[in-house]
Amino acid sequence: MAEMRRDIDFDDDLYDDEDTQKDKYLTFFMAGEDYGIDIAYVTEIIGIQKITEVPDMPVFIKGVINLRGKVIPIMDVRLRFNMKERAYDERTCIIVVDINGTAVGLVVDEVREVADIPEAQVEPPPQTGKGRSSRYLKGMGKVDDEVKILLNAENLLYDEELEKLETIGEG
Amino acid sequence: MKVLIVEDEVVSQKLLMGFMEAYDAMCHQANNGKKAIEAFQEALVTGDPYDLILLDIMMPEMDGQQALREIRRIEAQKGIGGADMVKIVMVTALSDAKNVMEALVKGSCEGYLTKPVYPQRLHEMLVHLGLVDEKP
Amino acid sequence: MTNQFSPDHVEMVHEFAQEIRDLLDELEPVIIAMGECCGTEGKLEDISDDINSIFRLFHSIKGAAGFLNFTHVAATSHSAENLLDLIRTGGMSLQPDHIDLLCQGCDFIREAIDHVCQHYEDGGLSEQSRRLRDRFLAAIKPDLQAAEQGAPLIDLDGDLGSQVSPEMTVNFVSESQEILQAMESGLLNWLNDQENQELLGDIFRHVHSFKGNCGFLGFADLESLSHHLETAIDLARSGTKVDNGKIAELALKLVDVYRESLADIEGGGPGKIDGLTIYLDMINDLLPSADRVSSETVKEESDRLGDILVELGAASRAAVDISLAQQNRQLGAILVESGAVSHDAIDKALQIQAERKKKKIGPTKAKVTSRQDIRVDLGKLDQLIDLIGELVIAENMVVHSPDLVDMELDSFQKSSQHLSKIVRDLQEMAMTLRMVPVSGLFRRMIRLVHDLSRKSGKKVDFILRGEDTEVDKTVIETITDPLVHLLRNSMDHGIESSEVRLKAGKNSTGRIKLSATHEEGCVKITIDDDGGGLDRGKILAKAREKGLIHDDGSSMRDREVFQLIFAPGFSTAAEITDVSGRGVGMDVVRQNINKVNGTIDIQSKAGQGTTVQLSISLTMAIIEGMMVRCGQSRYIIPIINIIESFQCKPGMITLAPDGQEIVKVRDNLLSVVRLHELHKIVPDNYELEKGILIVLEARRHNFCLFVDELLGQQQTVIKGLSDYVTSFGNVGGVSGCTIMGNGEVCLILDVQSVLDRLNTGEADESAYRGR
Repeated sequence: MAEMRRDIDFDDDLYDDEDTQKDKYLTFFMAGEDYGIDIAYVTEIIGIQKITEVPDMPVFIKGVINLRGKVIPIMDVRLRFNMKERAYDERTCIIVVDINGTAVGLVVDEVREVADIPEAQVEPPPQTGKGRSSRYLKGMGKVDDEVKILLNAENLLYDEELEKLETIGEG
Repeated sequence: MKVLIVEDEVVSQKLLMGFMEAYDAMCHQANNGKKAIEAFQEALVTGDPYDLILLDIMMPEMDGQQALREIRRIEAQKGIGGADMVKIVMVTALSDAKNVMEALVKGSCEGYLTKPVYPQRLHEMLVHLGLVDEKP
Repeated sequence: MTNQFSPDHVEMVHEFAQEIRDLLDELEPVIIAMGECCGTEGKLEDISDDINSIFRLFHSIKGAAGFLNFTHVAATSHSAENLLDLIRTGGMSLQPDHIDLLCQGCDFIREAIDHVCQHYEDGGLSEQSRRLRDRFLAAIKPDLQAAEQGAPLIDLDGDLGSQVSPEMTVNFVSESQEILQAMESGLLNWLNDQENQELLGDIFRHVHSFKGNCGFLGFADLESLSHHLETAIDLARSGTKVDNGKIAELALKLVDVYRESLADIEGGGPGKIDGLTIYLDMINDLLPSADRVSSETVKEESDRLGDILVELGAASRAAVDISLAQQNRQLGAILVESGAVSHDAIDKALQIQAERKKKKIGPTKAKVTSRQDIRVDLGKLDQLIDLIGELVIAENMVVHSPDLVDMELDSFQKSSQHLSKIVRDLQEMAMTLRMVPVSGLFRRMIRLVHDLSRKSGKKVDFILRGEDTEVDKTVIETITDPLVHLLRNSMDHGIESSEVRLKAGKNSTGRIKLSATHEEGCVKITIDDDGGGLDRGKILAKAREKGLIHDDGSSMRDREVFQLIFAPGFSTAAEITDVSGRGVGMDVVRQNINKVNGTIDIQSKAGQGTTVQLSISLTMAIIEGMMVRCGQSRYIIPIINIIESFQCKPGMITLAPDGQEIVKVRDNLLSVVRLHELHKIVPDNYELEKGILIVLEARRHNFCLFVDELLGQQQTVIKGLSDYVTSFGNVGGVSGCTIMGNGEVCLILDVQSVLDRLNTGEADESAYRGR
């Protein structure tokens, strides 16, 4: 595998340290589609647990949980994408990500596997213009016949909120 | 030259004593910090203060750091300052930064010698302090 | 570079840096305080302790630098030492220039410390060191030359006091204690036997000899008080009609006063008596008016030599004034030289000057105290505090473990109570570990104000209060820069020049007060000046110019207007003087304060001054909390906000026209806030009678919170809600959260903001009512 990648990507030597994580995505299932998130952001995966609601939050922030003494916020990714809410079950998982030092738990329907998706197999997100969700997308990853929707983790957390805050500030 | 040697260990006492007597110094001894302070105060009261105190740190009852601070405190209280302060050289096996700087900065001692003390280094120190001439 | 030095050396250098920095912080203010009493009027004895302390500072630096082979640092310290020794021994009087020079010495040492911490040797400092040494040498030289030329040197600063040896003082104290002992027992006997002339004679002799000793050694307060007492006793002895009993009682009290003064002298102090004039008046009150001792100390007096000479008629005011114009030479010498007065007159005046000065309250000296401590890495300390926080949680989990519910566990209860107590003590201790007094920070400001004052030529009294107030170390770090800015602002824009002040009918010397206090879990740092105050119009004009506001601002309240100066882009970089040197504006002040959850409040009256108050919450990482339940949700309410709780009965509730429920608690009408409405949760009960009402207080306002159940009091470790959560804006009514025994997160109610929410409904209307 490594050899193969070296053929494709000759800049690879520069990233040797991150070699084990490069091009690896944690894939999860949600509303009939497979998604992927850069494994470098993922710190752990935990089962669903009691979430303490916090008032005055956007709908997609479900609240906070205690993760070994740390209080981390929980985002329901379905709600983030304006999808229909779904009751949590035993397969519902929280993917804990650390994005630039901010730990956030992402609620997804089901976690699948860790997949290798080389950059060459990633296509830019289609410019469908349907909804603003495309801002959260990094691209479409092709693994065999399947397509995984790769998320832009940073935009998932911020982006729209910040814009919103800015507009409030101006007004 | 009137010298007070503060040292609890006999061999070091003898060594320092012998060495200082080579300069015709009048040597007194104390084997802990408390005794040292008593001797220091007595010398002050009788109007014949010490020119030099060689002070060990690790000693029973009161250690050298404490004694050093106390001596400086007494001097400050009596308004003895500047060049009139007694010259104190720490002679100790301790060479860690904390002890050295505590003595030099907090205690304003004039010198710090680590054991083993070689006559040459002690001599250089005495010259540096202006207590003896260049020639031994 | 570093490699060529041994790890030992490197460690030693850092230790050196730390120790010297501490010492500088401690002693630099002493130098400046010394400067306030120097010049022609300076008297050696007043400052000899300080001189000795400063001497020791440079002496220590020399020794330590020598040990580390920092030859340039050592040499520079040595030249400072030389100057100080000369002053100390009276070979030279302390001049304002010397203070500057010593300050520069301190600056050099600070720079040198930074330098050696990087390079571990001081070769790069040779040029700087040489220049400074030259200046020290220049400061010493003229004096040496003068002495060599055998110029008639009148030691204006000399008096008997400076010839008193330490032994003499020691003897004086012990002898005086004996006299006082005898005086005391004599007085007690006399009280019982007031006709006994022999006793009275003894007492008189004791007082007389005590007075003599005090006079000889130059303890003016003691002498003056004894002189008065002597007069009173003499009258009693000579049979004049006075109330012997009262005199004896007063005399006994004075014995205590003498003892206090002696204790001060023994400790190296000047033996000043606080409230001297009161005692003198008390004696006079007991005497027939004809015999009252004319009390020169009661009147406002000048201790300026020139004034005294005029007072004695030894010199004309004009002669003194002319001479004063040549202040760079000492007044006495000038007057003698010019033949305006005789040596004898000068001597006499000097004696009086010495006495009067002793009576005056000396300048507030920064007390040099040393305390025993060890240095601990701040990171380790934080870890410790975190761990203790975890321990509190773990302890809660154990003690309140669901497994133990309904079990009879007497001995477990006992042990767990003991454990809880220890944990609480540990916690309290941990909180104090990071706390440091603001004195160090405040003292650094002395230097700042001193420099600013010199640079701008504005005279200012800088007053410090509450230096012992302890705050978290990070708070100190965060407010240092803001404080510098605010003080600089006070000096630059607040305090007016002497001429302007005089014209405005103010004291020509300005006043800036820096104080710290603890209040309601906050530390408040206040900077208060009596300068020109903020100009509302100018601020508004500038804000408009910068586009910060768009109307004329006439509807804005003063406080809002003043807050504008903290807006980004308001302060102009051009006005920043080289003292702050950072080129940042007041917005940075606010940013820094916000960082530690602090607030800034400004009050100002045109022409009268400005008060800026920083409120910063203490790091209260653990609070005592009450857990309450509302439906499925649990909340912690800080105990300090809770006044009481009760179950309300029908008839206690009134519904206001706007729908607000009001409950009558004794004579108070309190608004009810339903927690379930506030946080949109489903409660057990909607009827107020079925739940619990908790009376809460914030900022002296009370209201009721409606919840389903009280669950009990517990130690609560405050955890912040994630930054991500707070990035969505303020979380309503919640200040943070904690982790419960079962591992779930529980929100902590912020009573203050709940109250604010309650008030926002009314706020718009109340604004019109002028609230």
